[in-house]
Amino acid sequence: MIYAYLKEGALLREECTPDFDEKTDVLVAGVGTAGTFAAISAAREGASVIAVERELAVGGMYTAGRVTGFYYGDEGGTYEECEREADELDKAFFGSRKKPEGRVAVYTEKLSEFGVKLYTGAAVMGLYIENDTVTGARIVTQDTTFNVRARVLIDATSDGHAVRLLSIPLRFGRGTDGGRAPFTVWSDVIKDGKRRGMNVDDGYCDQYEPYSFSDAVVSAHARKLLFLKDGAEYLSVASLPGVREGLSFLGEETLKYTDILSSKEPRRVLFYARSDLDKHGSDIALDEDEYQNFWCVSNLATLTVRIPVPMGAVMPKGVRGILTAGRCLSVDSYALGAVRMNRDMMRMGECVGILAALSVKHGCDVRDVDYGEYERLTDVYGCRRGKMTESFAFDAPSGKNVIGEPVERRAVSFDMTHEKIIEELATDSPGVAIYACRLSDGSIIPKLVPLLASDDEKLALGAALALGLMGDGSGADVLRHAVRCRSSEIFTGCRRSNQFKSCAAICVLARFGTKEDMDLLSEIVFDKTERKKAMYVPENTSPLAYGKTDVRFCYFQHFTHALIAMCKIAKREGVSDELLSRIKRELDGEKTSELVDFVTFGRADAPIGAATRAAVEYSEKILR
Amino acid sequence: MKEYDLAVIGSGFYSLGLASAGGRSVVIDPHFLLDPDFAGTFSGFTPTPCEEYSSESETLRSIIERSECMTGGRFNVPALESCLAEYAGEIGTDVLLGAYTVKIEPPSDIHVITLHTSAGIIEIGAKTVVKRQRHLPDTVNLLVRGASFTLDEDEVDGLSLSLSDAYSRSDRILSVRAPLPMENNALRARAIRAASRVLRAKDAKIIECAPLGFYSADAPFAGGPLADFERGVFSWREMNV
Repeated sequence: MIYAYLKEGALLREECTPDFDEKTDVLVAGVGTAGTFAAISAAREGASVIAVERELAVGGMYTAGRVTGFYYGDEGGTYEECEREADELDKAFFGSRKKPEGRVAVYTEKLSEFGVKLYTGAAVMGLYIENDTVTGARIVTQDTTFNVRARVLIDATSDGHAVRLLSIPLRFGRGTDGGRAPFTVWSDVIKDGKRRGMNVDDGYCDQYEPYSFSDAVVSAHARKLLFLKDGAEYLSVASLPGVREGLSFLGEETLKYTDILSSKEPRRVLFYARSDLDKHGSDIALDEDEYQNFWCVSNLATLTVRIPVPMGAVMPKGVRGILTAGRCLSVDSYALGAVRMNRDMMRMGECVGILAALSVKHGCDVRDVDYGEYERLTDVYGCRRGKMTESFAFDAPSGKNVIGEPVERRAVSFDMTHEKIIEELATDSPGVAIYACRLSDGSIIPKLVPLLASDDEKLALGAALALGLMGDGSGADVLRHAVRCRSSEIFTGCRRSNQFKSCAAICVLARFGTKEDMDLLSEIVFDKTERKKAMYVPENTSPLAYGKTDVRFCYFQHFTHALIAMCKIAKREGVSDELLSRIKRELDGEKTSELVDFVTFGRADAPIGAATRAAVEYSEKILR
Repeated sequence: MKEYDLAVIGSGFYSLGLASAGGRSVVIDPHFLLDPDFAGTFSGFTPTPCEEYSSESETLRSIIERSECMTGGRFNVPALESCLAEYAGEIGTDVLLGAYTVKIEPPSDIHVITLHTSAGIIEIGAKTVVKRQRHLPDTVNLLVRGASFTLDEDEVDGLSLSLSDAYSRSDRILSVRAPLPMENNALRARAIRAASRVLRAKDAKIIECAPLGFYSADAPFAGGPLADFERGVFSWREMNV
């Protein structure tokens, strides 16, 4: 048998003959949003369960992280019953619902009711592995260590603290520059006599590097004080930092955002999640092209999508006796943004617990569980299917779009007639039509080209963007015009603004632009008078002009998009060295710091400063 | 292996005082909160008269002033903590949160502390180790609101209750203390239940329960955070003597 553990971040494996202090069918590592329901459902289906949680309370981000409410995520499953009970408790004790206390009490009670042996303040520190099968784990508490033998280990630690101990490929961050979602420490303030949550992005962190992560957490706590306004008083910070992204691993199957966008359905679906592609970071200029097509060019970032999570995405490739639950699954960075909502994590945990229990019941590996039996059992509890039936829908949680107009829930299909596409391209909300062209066979191209000459600027720009996504650069002049206008206006399709029209134009121009376009873009990047131009000051009175309320953010977006677009064009045109020299000269450390000070001045959210630096670093990477 | 003059396990004010008082040091805490007793217990809501701690320590005074700059002159425990952390960083103190102490090996010439962290096992060396961490709390603070009620009974369900002012004038802190230390969540659940029973009859309510309880022998109210910090500073001097 092998004992696998990490020392100073390096994976070590030693031959061993351990004595096991405890034995169980299922060992759940991490009793957070997913792990709680994994433990409950596995025990409910007859498995013996030991669960270990490093925090002092169960429930994870939903309790210790203080994100006690639902945003996206679909309905269905045992969590609903727990919610009702917890709300009753909270109402009785606090006079209000959605407190962490009610949930901690109900979860603890349920775990106990089903006979789960729970250890809080405890974590997995090593795995026992025999013939590519996980057979147990060593647990560390604040007082001692002990060994547990288990038939199935469920890694529900969010950050894959057990999966990291397997010799399988791991991935962290997106493919372009390794960038990842920012983290947030939830804090509570008292203002005007009322308790309010404060949820702003606190920057980027590496939770696997303990010294720098500790610094990031302490800094996040301190930063919050800088943005207390109007007599608000700081009440407390969450004891669990809200980290949105951790390691992913090579699974038997992988959930990819491109599969979500093309509505690909896996053969065996673990469960259906529901969310927008909730990227959080503003560094869209550094994203992959296809993600930009959807998020920026079509501005569909907050379209609600139904996500069929393949069963193999919770099975580390080639290793038996282990499953994952929660946001550590085999997934790319972009799809992960859509598969981490509280409610979905609870439903996912319940599904994984059922899968583990069936494996124990039939004495087979989790891969060999009968899918029909799994479907039937998950249907009894309602945790697998969810309530969303369409692949895509406009469904703003606030009921309003970005400029405050009401948004009624409606299903969206990218299977559109040419006439319908052209009709929508001329509207303030052309995103679905633009992306429908991206997914189409291209037969609409001859109908779109003449529209580039239209006097209707909206229609011409919509056509140019749509053509661009189909690989046709004939709308380049229209795109150049949009860039010259520095339009800080947005499409209204989504409830929140993500990208300006001129940034969408820059994104597409990067794919067709020539050396001449670099002059146009270099104005944005290098001209010191750029930030003082009209488009970055609050003069535009259009309701679609997002820039008028956040001019620094507007400049940040233009800067990063233009810089990366220039690099892509320079690479294609064979002038990388020239541009690299200019970047080194005109965006050296001191000048970049000055730029960071400008874009971050007075902002509560931290990531755009880091994203500005990341864009400069990434530009050099592209050019080299 | 990183080596320090001093490793403090637990990150309360006393620990920070020790760590800030000289030498190369590290503060270690299993929680993701620097000083969980304060950050997690609402003790910062109790007014702490800074002037009472007219410290002879120039360092401490400058840290307090720095923290008051952050908050426009108000005393605020998290502000003070972040300034302490900043100061600690300036003089070379490392902070390690989310770190469990697996073992401490007695030294031949240096202690070797084995920690479990997000990077797995890490070992650090320290000439001196001070263990300040406590696992089990006996007291929980609740932020409560209502007309200026008084407590008719100070013991409910075997728990001792006491009221103190919070610096937000409409709210007060209800401290609920158990006779013996116990697991955090069980203690909080008991405290909420008992407090709820008392408050319901007085048209008052619990606004929030502190996420973490604390051990009353180290109670934040006993001497105040700054006094605790100073004790740490002076203890370190004694150790060095």
